[in-house]
Formats: sequence, C-alpha cells, structure tokens
Amino acid sequence: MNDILVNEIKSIGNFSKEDIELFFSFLEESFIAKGDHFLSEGQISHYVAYITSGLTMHYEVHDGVEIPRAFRIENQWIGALKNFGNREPADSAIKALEDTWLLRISATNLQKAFQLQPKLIALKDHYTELSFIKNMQHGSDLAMLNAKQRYYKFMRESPDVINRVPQYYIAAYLGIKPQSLSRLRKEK
Amino acid sequence: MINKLISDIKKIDNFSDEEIDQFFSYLTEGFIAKGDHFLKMGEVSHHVAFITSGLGMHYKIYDGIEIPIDFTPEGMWLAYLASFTNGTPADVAIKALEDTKILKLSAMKMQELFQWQPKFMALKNFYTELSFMSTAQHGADLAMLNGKQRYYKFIQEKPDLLNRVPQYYIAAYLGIKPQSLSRLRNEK
Repeated sequence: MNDILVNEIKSIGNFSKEDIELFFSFLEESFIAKGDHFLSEGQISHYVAYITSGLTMHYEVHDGVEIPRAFRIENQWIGALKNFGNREPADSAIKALEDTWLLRISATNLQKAFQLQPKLIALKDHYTELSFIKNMQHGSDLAMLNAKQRYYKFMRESPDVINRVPQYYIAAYLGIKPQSLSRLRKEK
Repeated sequence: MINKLISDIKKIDNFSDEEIDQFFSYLTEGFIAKGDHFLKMGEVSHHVAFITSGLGMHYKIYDGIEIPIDFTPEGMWLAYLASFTNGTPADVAIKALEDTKILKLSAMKMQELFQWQPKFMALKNFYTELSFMSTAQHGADLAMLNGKQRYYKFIQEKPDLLNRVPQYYIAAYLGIKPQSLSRLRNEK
C-alpha cells in the first residue's frame, strides 16, 4: 500500500485498517508514457486514478489549441468526473506530460467498494471537494486578475508545476499570450 | 422543489421512506431577504442550504467591485465548501439576489446524519460534483472563449438567469465590460 495515500485516507475520516485494505484491494497499478492519454476526448471514462509519480494535464481542445484545465502531480487524483461512470463520451481529455505511474480504480469497482463500506464515499467526496475548490479559485482568478497577477499567483502556488510544464501550456492555462508570458518571465 | 430533492435522493441510492423522512428531520427552514447574506466574507460557514425558492450569488470583491463566481437558483444547494468543510474563514460571500427560502443543514447535523447513514454522503457528493462541473466549465469558458461567445453561451444555458440577475453582475461574471454587454444585447 502506498504510505502517503494511506496517511491521507486516515486524515480524511475514521477508517479502520480493514476499510483501508478493502479500498486498496480495488486499486490497480498502471503506467502512462509521456504524451500518452489517460482519457481521450470522445472515450468513455472508466477510471479515476491516484498519481504515485509523474504529471498529467486535463485539457480541452478549442480552435485546434489544447487549453489546459488542470495540472495534477504525484499524490493527487485525476479523473473526468463529468463523464466518469456514465456512458457519455468525454468532452475533455487527460494526458501525461511525464512518464506517469498510477493507482487506478474503475467506476464499477468504486461502486462495489461503496456498497461494501459506504463510509468510503467520504474519500470520493473529499477529493471532489478539493478539485472543486481549486477550480473555483482558478475560475475567479481568470475573471478578476490580470495576466501578470495570474502568472505570479501561479508561480507562488504551484512552483513545483511551473518547471515541469511547457511554457505554452502554462500560458494557455492562465489565458495569456505566449509572448506575454515570456515577457513576464524576463521581468522577474 | 421539495419533490425535486426527494427524486434526487431516490436517484442516488435505494433509500427507504424512513431514511428520507429522517433526512428531512435534520433540515430547518430559513429565509434570506433580497440583498441579505447567507455567508459574509471572513465568516466561517456553518450551514449548507437547499433553495426551495429564490436565487443566491457567490461573489468576491476585487478593487471594490463585486465579482460573481456562481449563481444558485431554486432546486440547488447553497454552500461554500472551502469554508464549511475546513472551518476556515470564507474568502467568498454569498448573498440573496431575490427573497430566498431555504432548508438549512448545519455541519454538526450533517455529521450526525452521515454517522447514522453513511450512504447520505453520496447525496452530498452528487451535489458537490454538480457544482464542480459547473464551475470547471465556467473557468474553461473564461480561458477559451471571447466575450461574445461567453455571452451567447450564457444566454443559451441559463436563459432563466438572464432576466433575474442585474446586468452588471452578468457582465462581471462573464469577465466583460458592462458597455460591451449592452452592445451585445443590442446586437441580438
């Protein structure tokens, strides 16, 4: 069992050793090479996954350009909740920007785990909340801050991501032109 | 709207009528007059609430201007989870844009409910996911679409809000200048 994830689970709720073992029994290891997809646009989303190492990008394609919605690194979860478990094809995609190792769980097994131990729903809800709060923050930053403020905030809050993600993705994520981003980087 | 809530609950899991009655016994009726706050900036949020009639707005203040982050009409839950779950002071405020009737659930009662029947966590997760998807989409729209596209998307997806929310709030929510919004409205 992954120690970091076990400790995190313990901090989320009052789970017994058996609850945690039950949850882990449904997780399977999986690998995505850099550039490959965890979920392609139009696919049915069958899995959510915990990143043990690596980095992924959740994105949409708009006018032929990949617009990142979120970057996720080790010890974070990935998934397309909008389409997870239902039969609708995904309208967004998730790919690995580095070689990435995962612990994944299928929608079917997640439901099984919840039936066996409903307390485990607290885990899904916890991680949904985390993503929700992050996303809301990103949305309000895009509405309220100017490009320079967005860039400085991103540097401050995600210093571990900034050197691992290509510049043009960071620019697109922050809704600023690549030229403006280069200028901001030089100003620093 | 109570019927919608009951049908949402039944969609999520096989709850008995007793369980649903029990759930409703945890809720208390409340009222927020138009312009009053459900949550003030800097307060800790102790409640979530189902709106039976009315309209709420999440907003932040930036340079003295209220920037809406989300609008919540009847049939949805009003909450600021970043504060409610973590017990931290809210960096967002929530106020009523119309006289609003709610069914409130306190954090303490929610914990009681979850201990009594953990399956109700799936209900909370269902609504958290809904809010998550709506804000994720709004963030992506702000990053990808131009002012005109954002406005047309808003009209298409939330025609009911268009006539219930003051123009300057819609403009600020969409990240466009009030003058540009008037121009777009006249173009139509």
